[in-house]
Amino acid sequence: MRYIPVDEAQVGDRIAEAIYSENGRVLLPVGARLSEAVLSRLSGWGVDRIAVDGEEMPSDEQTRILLEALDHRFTGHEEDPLMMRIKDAARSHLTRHH
Amino acid sequence: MDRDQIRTRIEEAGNLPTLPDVVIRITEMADRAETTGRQLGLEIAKDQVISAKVLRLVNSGFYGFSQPIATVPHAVTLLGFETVKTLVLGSTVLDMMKDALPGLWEHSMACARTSALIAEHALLDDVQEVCTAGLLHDLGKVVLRQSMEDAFRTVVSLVQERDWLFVEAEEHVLGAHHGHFAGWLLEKWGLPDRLVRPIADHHNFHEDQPFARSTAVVHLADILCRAEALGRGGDRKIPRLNPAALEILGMAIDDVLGVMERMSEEMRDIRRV
Repeated sequence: MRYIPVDEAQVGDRIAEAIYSENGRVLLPVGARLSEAVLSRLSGWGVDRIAVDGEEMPSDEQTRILLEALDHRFTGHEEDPLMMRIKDAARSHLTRHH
Repeated sequence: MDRDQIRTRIEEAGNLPTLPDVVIRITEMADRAETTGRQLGLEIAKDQVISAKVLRLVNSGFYGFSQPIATVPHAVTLLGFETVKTLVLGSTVLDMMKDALPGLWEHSMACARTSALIAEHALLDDVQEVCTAGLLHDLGKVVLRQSMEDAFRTVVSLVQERDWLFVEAEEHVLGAHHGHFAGWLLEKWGLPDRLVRPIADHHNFHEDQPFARSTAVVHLADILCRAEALGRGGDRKIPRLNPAALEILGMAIDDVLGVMERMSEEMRDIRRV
């Protein structure tokens, strides 16, 4: 299983972890294959990352995605030294484990 | 809808599952001064579903007990009356958490453990109680979904479209947030302020409020779990840490980094989403 950003998903990919709507309904069960139609709707559902069957992503690719999300989370706190120390620590933990 | 109407709606909590008789009986017992921990434990143990839920929570690792706890009376002895009562009440709602928002369950578990780590570090009197508050700190998001589904949907779409914090979208739509929602419900359930306040005020920490130290713990734990991407709170941002929270806990930034180090070692299995 590997996690990929939605815009890298392809028709025929097999879902390895169920996708839920924001209010908890199952949108795609485990085992479902991505069709053209479903693919075009994924980001509209608010899904940004999915788990599909296949080889684990190269770890530097995973790290890149995690670090992008980290940067995004801390948007607006750039001038706050306390928040930046916390971000730095989180970054080193994220890169260490991947 | 004004604030009072929202509060009434939540207190009536029409869509929340009604509390099972056994929960009401246990709550009444726990409120009577003459009830002993043993009596309470035995009463809970009569209900197998509830005791299984309580024991699963107690043993799930975030309290940090080294030995498994096999019986409810034992749990009452170790965790105290109020914590077990909160777990009995909360277990009904915790089940709904898994369906409410993706990642919220993981975020809650991580926040419980992190609250315990911070509380130990800052030498709080009742680590278990603060840990329980951490576990239930986002209960109000579940309450919102169950009691005002339309508003919940609006909040969720605002979070996505405008990339706001969940709490900001709630304030925008309802003029109140999940801390308030949980607080109103827990007060109505008769839980003591020292458990309710940290949950209700985790987004509004102020050093002069009652139970400010426990509130500071939950405020900090929430932010650290988001920083470390342990579960998800329903949005993609992080609220700002109030430096007064560190001050009241007697913690410097290096102490915070130490806690984060332990979190990342202990919880690497919790899905990073």
